[in-house]
Amino acid sequence: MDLVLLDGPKRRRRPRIGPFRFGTDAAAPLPSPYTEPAARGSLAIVDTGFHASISSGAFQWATSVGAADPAAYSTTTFARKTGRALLARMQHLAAGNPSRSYVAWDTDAAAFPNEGVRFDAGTLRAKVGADEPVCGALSEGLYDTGYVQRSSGGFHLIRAVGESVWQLYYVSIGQTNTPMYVGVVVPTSNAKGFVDNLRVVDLPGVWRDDDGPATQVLSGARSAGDTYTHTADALIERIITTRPSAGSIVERFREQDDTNHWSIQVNSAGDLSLVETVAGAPTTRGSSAAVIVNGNRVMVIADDVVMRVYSSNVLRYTYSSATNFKAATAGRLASLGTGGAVSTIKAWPRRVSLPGWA
Amino acid sequence: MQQRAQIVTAWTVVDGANVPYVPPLPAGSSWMDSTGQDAASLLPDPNTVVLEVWTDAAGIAALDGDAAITVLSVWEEPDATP
Repeated sequence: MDLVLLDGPKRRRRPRIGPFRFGTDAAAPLPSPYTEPAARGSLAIVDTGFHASISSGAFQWATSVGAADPAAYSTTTFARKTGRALLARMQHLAAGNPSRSYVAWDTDAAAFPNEGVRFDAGTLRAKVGADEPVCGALSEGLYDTGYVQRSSGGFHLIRAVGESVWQLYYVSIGQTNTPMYVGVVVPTSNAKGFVDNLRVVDLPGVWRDDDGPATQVLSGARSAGDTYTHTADALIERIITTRPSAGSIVERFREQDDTNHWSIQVNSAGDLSLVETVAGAPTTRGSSAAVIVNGNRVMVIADDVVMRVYSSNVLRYTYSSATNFKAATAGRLASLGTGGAVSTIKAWPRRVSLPGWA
Repeated sequence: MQQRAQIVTAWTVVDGANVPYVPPLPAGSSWMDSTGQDAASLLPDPNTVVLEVWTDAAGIAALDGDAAITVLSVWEEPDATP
């Protein structure tokens, strides 16, 4: 387990909106705009079916009419800003209708939001424009969730209530919308949701940097032999600028030594493979056929014995028996094949803290 | 890729690497090793591996039509992802 402590000063900062703590029970239909005495700003409520209420200290609904009904949106927009975070507590309960909800940034305060966190019937997803990559399973319980803006994309965070550190569960690029509302949105009919402690804050420290808590950033065109370090549990991205015409792009991570490591490989057909090399003998543990085109971003998320491999915001496969070299922290662009090109290798720790919001 | 399958296939050696045999599948199809066997004991025995496959109807047909593999199960899972 790697823990990167990023705490700055412990003083609380005043949220840009909220915190909405939903402390006073209220039945549907809720007033719109909804306000709380101690919270900054207000929320516009959408609830044609009268399903949304405030109970058990949360904004919740047991069923839904359809997409974005019920929903709650900020009545004001916020300019995009690196380090600007939308934080909320969400609950996943398996009983009854599926728990499905977004807590996310939204350009139009209608329909589906654009960037943020999605609970999807026991599956955790990132919301990245039209993409919703799967990021793991959710067990029943309460979670703190966060989405921290970058100039393009953002950091997707979660922790179970009671845990002291956050899990950086996805890092996205490409979304540049501004300004945006914040919203709590149901994605489908017949779904339930539970959201509490909703607020927007501007994070200090490393979060003001576009790469946030990255442990290494190799910008620009890369060369075979480039090395980097990452935490053992890490998110590692690279851009496949050009597929090779022969051979394979081979980028190692969790490299124990020259003959013991993991690697991501892209061949001339655009096949994306995860390879485990033990004592010099490579074994392919997962592969996707023809999924890489020039310019695609490939992300590997390694967490203990689980490795998830993404391209273009799609989870391609998950390998769950990655017991070898799980404490290794070295990365290396071992080969570009013939004519291959890679740019912008970045690595982030899997576990982080949010200053002032422990 | 809403079709999923679990198959039994054999390890092969391709350019010195252990690679499970999988027939050509449509673009976008994926597979992963479900067994996690230690790399030192793949070949020559047991030389079988269970893979989980994400593909489409044409990919399922390719799997079903290949005598070198055994399809254990096929199911459809809307919005299925690994």
